[in-house]
Amino acid sequence: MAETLPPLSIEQLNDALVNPHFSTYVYIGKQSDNAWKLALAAQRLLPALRVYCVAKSIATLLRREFEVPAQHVGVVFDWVDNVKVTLTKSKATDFLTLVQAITDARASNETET
Amino acid sequence: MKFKSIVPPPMLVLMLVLIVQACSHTPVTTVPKKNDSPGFQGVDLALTERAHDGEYAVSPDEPSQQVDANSVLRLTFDAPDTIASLSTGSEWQSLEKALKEIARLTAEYNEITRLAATLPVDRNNQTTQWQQRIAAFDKKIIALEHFFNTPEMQSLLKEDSTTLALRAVDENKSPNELRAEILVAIREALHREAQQFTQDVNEYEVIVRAYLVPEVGDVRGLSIKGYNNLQSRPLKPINRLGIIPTEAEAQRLQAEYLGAQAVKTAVVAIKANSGEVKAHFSGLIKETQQRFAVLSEQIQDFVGQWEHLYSASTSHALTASVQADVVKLVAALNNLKHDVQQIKTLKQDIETLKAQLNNKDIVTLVLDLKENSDQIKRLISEIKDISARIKTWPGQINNIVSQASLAAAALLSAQNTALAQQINALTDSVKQNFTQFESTLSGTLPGAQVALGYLSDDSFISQGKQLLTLSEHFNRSEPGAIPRPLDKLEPAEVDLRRAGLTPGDIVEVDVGFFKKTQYTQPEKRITYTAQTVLTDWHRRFSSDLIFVRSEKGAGSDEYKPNVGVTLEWHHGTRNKSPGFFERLDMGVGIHAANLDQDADETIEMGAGVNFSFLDGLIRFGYGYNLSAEKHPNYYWFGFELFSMLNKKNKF
Repeated sequence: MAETLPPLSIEQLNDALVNPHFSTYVYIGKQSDNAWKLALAAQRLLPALRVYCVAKSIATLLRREFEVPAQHVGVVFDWVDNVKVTLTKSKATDFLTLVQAITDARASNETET
Repeated sequence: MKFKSIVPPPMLVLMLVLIVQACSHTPVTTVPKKNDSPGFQGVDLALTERAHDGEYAVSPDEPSQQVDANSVLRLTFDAPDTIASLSTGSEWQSLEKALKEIARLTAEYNEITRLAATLPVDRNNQTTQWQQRIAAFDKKIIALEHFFNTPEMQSLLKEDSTTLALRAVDENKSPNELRAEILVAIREALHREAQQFTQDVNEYEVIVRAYLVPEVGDVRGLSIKGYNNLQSRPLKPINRLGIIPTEAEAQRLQAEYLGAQAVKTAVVAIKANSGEVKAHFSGLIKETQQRFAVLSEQIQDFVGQWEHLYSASTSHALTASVQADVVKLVAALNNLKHDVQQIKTLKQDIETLKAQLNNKDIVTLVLDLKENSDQIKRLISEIKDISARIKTWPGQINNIVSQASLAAAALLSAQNTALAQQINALTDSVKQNFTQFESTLSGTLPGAQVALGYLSDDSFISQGKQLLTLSEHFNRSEPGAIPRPLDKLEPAEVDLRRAGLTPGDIVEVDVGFFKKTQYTQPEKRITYTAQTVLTDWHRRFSSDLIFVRSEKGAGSDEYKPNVGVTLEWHHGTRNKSPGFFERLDMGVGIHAANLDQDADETIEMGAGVNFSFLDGLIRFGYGYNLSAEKHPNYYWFGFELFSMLNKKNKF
């Protein structure tokens, strides 16, 4: 199910990331953005995927924690808390690119602990 | 040397008028393209010109377009599936494949999602297996996404994956759920279309015919394999650069030569006796006018009879239903009456023009195009309008006959037997008169064309040709046409290299959709018309009316009309926006000419070089009189008289 930060904190996100039965995609931006809508669409296409929309208030914290470059808005995690790839706004707003990035992250890491 | 001693003033004026007119014409797009395919009952048509330099689309109802004289015209049909063939069609199979895959993956998605909710947060022995299962599922999803992005599926879905995903979120659906809805709707539409098309296959057939309309000679049918029984001619492409004319070119060159000779004689005659020429011209106008008068009277007569009948019918106490049928009948008659009135107006305009002719010298009239342009434009407009309306007459007559039958039936049931009998009698009379009417029409139009052609205006000539083509449609026989059902429409090819044509000739491809066994009137007719030309570097023959002057000695005091035959090399372009030099369309070549410079010589021949502008519209030459003992050099300017006016359209 899609969730947003806040109400979740970074700590809560870290807790969610350790669940090895779900992979995670985090979008840094507004809920009205098309890129966020596409994240929701991806979740309805790919099972065992959690998506989070991060508000600006804690975006800086998140960028520092996970080393997300300034112009990048999409953070694709593997089955745990490793960042596999980050996406620019234009890439995060292309559905096929987004889905491909998420599935690549899950395939490359399926045996890691 | 004074300027006026080089070029005679009337000819200078004519040259300037022609150059200005030619340059002011909008360039004709060589190959116009349209995205919307013409068609009928779901069958779409596309005509392609396969030329030496590529493939180009040909559009229907654009007579100004051009095709390469060595090309192959290929007519293709895109028809829906019938119910029988629907399930084997690629479109249907793609739909089925996509829907099955969506259903399978949706079930698996739901199953995985259900299981995911039950798994503990901690990693356990089953975790790797779980991740591998998800990764395997992801691969199938990605494969399906790529399938949806293939051109075939994109043409069905009409939305890219991003747009569709955004819409799915707005509608609270998954992307595949939305896709499934779209595909199911398409499948249902295809099924409905197939049902309708299966009915249409039993009802309609297609006849494809192709004609060559040469500048010289009669219209003839062209062979189309599978669509007519005409024998294919031998393959004889036109040599673009060679100096040997084809048989057809030689034939046209000869006709042009004779024509140029005739005009030369006419120019001499005009000088000698302009009154006689004027009388001849007036006679042609008069003949056309008389024919229009006969045509007008015929229509007026039978419209009058019907109106009389209508007056009689209103004096009876008619029931409302009978009244309605009679009113419809009279409305159909009034439509035709309107056309009659228009022909009367045309008659008056021709009369006015004729009166003006009587007060002018014919040379002055031809040169003074500007003064007459308003009248000429009005006449063109009227002829265009009448031309369009004439096409509707057979339909209108049929409508009148049909309305008459209904009115007669209504009157019979209202026990008004006498009036019903009158209507039936008049209906028979209409059918008989119409045959006579067609023959008068066919006789009138060539007369009009000849008379209007004398005004030396290209629009008149082209309009006249249209009218002539129209009358030919009435009489043109089917060249062994083979009707084909809608579900058996193979591509039809017209190989212009086998047509025996000359560049400049017109090619017409006519596609008619007919109700089975009713081949007189198509339900839909789509006609492609194009002028044949040679593109890129090519040679061209012409016979010109030339005005020759010796450089020195005998014949150096004036320009004398003569006839020359030229061979030139030009470069034709398909550029839609030609530049100045492309528009100028220069040609360079050689010529042979009849000369008349030395009073002592009975036969004088000359040869030399020449160049031209504007696709041969104006030509200049310099040559050597082979028969002259002294001062053999001469120079000239000339015109391709008979194709000159058509060529103006190119600019």
